[in-house]
Amino acid sequence: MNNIHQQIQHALPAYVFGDVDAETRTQIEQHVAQCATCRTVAHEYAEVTRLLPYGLTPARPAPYLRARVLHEARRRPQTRHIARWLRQWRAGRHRVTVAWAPAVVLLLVLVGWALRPAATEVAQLAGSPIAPRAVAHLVVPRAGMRAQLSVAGLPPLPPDQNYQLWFVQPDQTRVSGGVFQVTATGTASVTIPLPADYGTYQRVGVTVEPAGGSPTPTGPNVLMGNL
Amino acid sequence: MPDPDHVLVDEAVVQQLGQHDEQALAVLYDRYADLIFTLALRIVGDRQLAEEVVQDTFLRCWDGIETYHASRGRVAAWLIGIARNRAIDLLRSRSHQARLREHAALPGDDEPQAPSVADAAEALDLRHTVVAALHQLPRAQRQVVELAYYGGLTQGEIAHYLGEPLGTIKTRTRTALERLRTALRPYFDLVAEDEDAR
Repeated sequence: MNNIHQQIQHALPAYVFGDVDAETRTQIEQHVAQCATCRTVAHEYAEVTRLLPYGLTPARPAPYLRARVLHEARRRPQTRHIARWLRQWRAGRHRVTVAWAPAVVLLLVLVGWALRPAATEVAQLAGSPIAPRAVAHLVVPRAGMRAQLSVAGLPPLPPDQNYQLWFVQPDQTRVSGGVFQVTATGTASVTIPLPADYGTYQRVGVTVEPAGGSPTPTGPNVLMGNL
Repeated sequence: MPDPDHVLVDEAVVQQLGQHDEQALAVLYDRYADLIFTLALRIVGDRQLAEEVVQDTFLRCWDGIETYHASRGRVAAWLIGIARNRAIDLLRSRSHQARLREHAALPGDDEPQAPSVADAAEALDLRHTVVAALHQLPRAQRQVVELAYYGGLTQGEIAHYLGEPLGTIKTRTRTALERLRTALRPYFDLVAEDEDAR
């Protein structure tokens, strides 16, 4: 391991605990984006920190808190738009009378709704007859080149095999979306790089392949769904 | 606590949350409020403050759904990150010495507590594994992990608090994480190997 990898990996514990300055954070994130080895270490340290709370003695908040959270959430979109309008009005950017306020607030609410953050698309994959309990979701952002695949109910494979995801075009051409393993409980949550021409694909599937994957599908299909 | 089915539908629930679907917020709350409250209570040591953290966490999700990126990990990890940051912000709003005193009095500085029989069966396996993984660490290693994660202390602050060299704390923290990484690996989410990584 050369020096840069050692430096990055020595900094990763502080990074996952949120204990690095912005410059170091940027340096680490740029490096792990390029380096699979350090990316794995960073991911697994982050996984450790995700799992730590599950070791605590469980506690439960007061029952009234649920209703309070939902009540506050219900009020928030409206109050947020009103607050924004009032800030602009006080700054003199709106030459309107108070009588116009309800109409302007309504307009802002409608504009806020129209400009809400872009959503994602979710493709559901069902298990094939040889993996009837398997199910998966592929969450595809409308902007971006990576999707998230969540899987459950697939049996763990021996070390010389992988699951491999395929994007399928109408003419049955298949393009690999990467390989993955599942946990001992049969689940996986993996990042999938999307093909540049993602919009031309109609289906997505998962097969069992030799470790490292295959150029084209060779093993049995375990999951399939429409995009 | 984790349920394999949640892996499937959390992302879909978050998608609905992006449409400001109140029912989606209720679903997320029902799944994760206990975990978030447990974590917050461990950090701030006060039920009222911990409930404040729970409320802030879910309302931040409601307001800032665009900060969720599926490629960066599970919904649970996103919620835990928001809650931990908020709880540590609360902790840091007090004086540094008071924070250290309060942290020293929290139960997590002692031996991790064994799961009670009242815990849900599906949570017990993971809980046993995490508790056992922490138990296998020498106390000094467990201490630095807990001071960093639950106390929100920097490695410099931990070195000062324990009266030990910074380099020793860094090495100890990394050794502890390596051991935990090995012990908890069966529960990790796995990352697909990109084409360029193969």
